[in-house]
Amino acid sequence: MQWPCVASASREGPVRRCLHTSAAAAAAASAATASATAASDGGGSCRTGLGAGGGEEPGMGGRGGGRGGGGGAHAPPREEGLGAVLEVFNKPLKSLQRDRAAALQDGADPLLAAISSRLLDRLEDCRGSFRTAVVLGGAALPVVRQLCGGRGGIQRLIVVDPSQAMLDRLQREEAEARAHPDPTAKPWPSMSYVLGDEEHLPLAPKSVDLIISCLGLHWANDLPGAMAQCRAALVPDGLFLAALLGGDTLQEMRIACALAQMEREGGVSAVISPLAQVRDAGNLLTRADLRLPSVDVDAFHIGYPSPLELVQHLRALGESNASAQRRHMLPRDSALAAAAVYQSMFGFRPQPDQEGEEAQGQGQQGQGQGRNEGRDVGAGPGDEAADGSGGGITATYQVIFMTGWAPAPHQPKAAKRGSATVSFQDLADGLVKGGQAVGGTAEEGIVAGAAQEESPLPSRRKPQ
Amino acid sequence: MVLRTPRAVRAGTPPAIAALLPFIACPLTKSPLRYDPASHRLVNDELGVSYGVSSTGVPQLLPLLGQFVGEQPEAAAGPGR
Repeated sequence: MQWPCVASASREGPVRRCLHTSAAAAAAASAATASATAASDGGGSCRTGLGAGGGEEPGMGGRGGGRGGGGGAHAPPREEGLGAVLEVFNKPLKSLQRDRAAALQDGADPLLAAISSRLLDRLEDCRGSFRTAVVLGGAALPVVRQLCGGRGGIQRLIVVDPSQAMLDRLQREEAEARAHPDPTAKPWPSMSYVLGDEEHLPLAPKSVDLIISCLGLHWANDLPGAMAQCRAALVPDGLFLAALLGGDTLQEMRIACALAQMEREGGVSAVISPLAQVRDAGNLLTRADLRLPSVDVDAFHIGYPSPLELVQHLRALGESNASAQRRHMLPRDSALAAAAVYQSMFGFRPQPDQEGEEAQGQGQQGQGQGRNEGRDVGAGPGDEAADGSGGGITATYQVIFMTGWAPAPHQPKAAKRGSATVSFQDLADGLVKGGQAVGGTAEEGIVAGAAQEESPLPSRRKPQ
Repeated sequence: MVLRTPRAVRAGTPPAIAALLPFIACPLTKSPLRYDPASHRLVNDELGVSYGVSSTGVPQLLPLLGQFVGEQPEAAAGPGR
């Protein structure tokens, strides 16, 4: 089935949001959007949604409300009644890909290290200590390593992952670290491992203090349900930290593949899986009843020597496409054309002024070196050309960081409407009279109080 | 922080599983699990479903890997193998 999507990124927004919100609409956890889901219409309503273009967008906002939210149910309803009716991602396939990634992944992968360190930075801002923490899939290796040494007061760490091979790797690393204790290295917390899925979280209600999901939830079919289960598993005032890939991720690859496919095959099919939008992240948190939500976005631009290294890196991360609607093969013509388009549109050349005149004679040699060194050289976060000796391509990873707290009675809440006791006008008048502010309106002009010695405004101080 | 009252644990439970029992639950109903030393499985009495524990001590709490108590072990078609 051909995706009704075109190369321009703005029109793809409704497709991704439609999938995201229709997955939300089909979630067992939410009763709010029960009205709309007309499964009989199926993909048709998705397509008409695109045809209407801008008109659909207000209707298909983050809540997935109304007419726009339903439809897109291509897979037949599952009889077991497990999880979402709409299956966007093929979870057994994702599990196999993570098995492969467990073997391929570089323990010191710079992208994962950067993302997990920024996510865990948020622990430094919290005064509480979290005795029991759960790490949900995703980039479990760097997260676990960075939680060593009692960071955040963590004494017990439970790793929940759908891939047995990833758990085996973690167990091996823990065994190695304990067998050969390095005095300079930080001690590991006491670890437990559970084979489980994010969407059917095997955690007892109100049992854990902290749940961390670093780059795991963007493969969840029922993302609101998964987050609601996380909130249910947290003690009151427990913390939920998540990092997931956002809508702009691999934008360059999307564009290059779309152009190449349009040219070679006359049609376009999606190569990037649907991803959450930043504007939906806040809604997701409130919908899961996580209080004091906060959402941050970071973009990482990684340089690679060629598109092939980018694909290899994605495989090693376990981020290969597992959409149910993905194309199972890409013809060689299209793949080569996509690589060429990528190189020409998003490639970069080495900076000639950095190398000086020697570059002229050594340019050829430098190019050869750049290609042979493989992806270690290129894959540095924020690096343009790692050693300046070869061109390459950039890829963008947009990461959405979400933070939420499980409901607890003493958390600060917004005051009720109409409960104010002081009016802003009184405040403003007081400040103006005291010389700390200058007020006034268009009609009466500038109103300045008496000049004061200690006024913070230099113009209002007494002349000396 | 809510302190969890330790539930009485049966004698044959390996210490790793015993330490984990307060935190884990059946993935389908979130009800507590009981370790059955005879079959080395974690049992959810409410549903009558049991989940295995791998040789390395990892509880296999995927919904598709659960077996009904008293039935023959079926060919596990679930993920994560």
